[in-house]
Amino acid sequence: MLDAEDFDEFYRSTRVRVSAYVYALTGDLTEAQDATQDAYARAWERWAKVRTYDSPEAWVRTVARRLATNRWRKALSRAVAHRRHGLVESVPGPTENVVAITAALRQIVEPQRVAIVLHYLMGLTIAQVARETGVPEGTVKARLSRGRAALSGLLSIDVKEPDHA
Amino acid sequence: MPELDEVLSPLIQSTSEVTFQMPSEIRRRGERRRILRRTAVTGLVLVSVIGIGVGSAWALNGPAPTPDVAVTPSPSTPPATSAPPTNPPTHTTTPPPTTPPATSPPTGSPRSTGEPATPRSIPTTAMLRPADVGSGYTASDAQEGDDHGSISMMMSYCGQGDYTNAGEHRVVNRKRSVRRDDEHYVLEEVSAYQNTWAARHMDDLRAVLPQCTTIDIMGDPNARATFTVVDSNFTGDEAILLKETRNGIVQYHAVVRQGNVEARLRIHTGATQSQARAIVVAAAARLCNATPTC
Repeated sequence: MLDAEDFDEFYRSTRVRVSAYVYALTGDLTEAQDATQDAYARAWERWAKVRTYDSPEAWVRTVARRLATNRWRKALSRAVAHRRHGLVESVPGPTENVVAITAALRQIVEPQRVAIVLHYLMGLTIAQVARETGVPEGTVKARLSRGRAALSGLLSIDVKEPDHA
Repeated sequence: MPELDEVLSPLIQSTSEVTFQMPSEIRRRGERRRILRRTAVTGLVLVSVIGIGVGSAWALNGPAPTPDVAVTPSPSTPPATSAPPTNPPTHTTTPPPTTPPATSPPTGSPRSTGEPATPRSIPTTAMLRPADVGSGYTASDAQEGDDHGSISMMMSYCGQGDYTNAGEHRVVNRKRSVRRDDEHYVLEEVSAYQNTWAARHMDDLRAVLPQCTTIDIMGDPNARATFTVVDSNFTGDEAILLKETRNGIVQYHAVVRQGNVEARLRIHTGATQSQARAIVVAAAARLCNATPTC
């Protein structure tokens, strides 16, 4: 079944990035895992179309983010996690470093956070971030600049200025 | 001096240690969703705890399907291995006489003195009826659905997904789809908010709309939607009617408020503007069954 093989490969090769994206935005690894898997299930539900997109991963990423930022859904997923034995073991505890990073990310405003995570963690270009977030490239650059400055302060580090700054 | 990508890289490391479900299990979940969606679309009685994309079925028929995302709380998203069924939604030509109230919020919210009481549930009588839309329509009360084409989703494509915080102050909501076939339907979501948040949502929506008159779905210029405010404050305490044109297809979005309660409508019936307006007026009248402020 070629479609299934195709999807399975897509899922295996992108799920870590997608969940890292959600984790970076929410600071909740369990939620990131759950929203990511849910988003891929939705992708399979309409795989015939999603697979034809320029970036199926962007589609899944958007869905996962949306699912994860639904406040009520988050509350539910926690309840589900309690009922579902084994989930706790499947999500490792964060390191001190990771806790500091996610805490810092959550303190910057969401548009900046999204831009930072898409560009620096997902490796999207400025143009790709602009396309995915629906804003001009100049806006993305401004968000990156402000977000970078904010993170530098929050993490007490000096980060290297990129060429596009 | 580190690059920021190096600083953030531990996040990738953390998620790489997560144990994900097997691909086959993910596909099974997707299949379950697909089956349930088809069941809903064919009008059969549906038994489900899974979010059903009634709206998504319609969106799939469009030229550029938008991501399947929950724009409303999904109080019963299933665990992967969940057993199906509770709470079958109803498909009726008239509202059932006794339908349980819509899902209540996980926590209660205090009521501020001097403000109209916020409903703790949305009765079916507050929802649109098939007759409000036209002949040949039936209503479905599946409470878990994903509307790909909702106004919230469109705003997120516009880069304004966070245009309001009103969602955090929503106390209860209820959904209904009134449909004739896959090309003719109205999706309605009625929500009650704390204090003045229903009005605040209207303000936030009005403020953001001028920035979102043209929206490329997923950044795709071939899936470009244009939004125009075509009417305002013609019913209820306040209302807004939006015309969306995408790939030659016209549909209307509306938000109408009565006190602390609002209805969001997506009218995809081929209606003219005046017909769409009439549906919104009917929805506003129905809302009075959920609030004492009318």
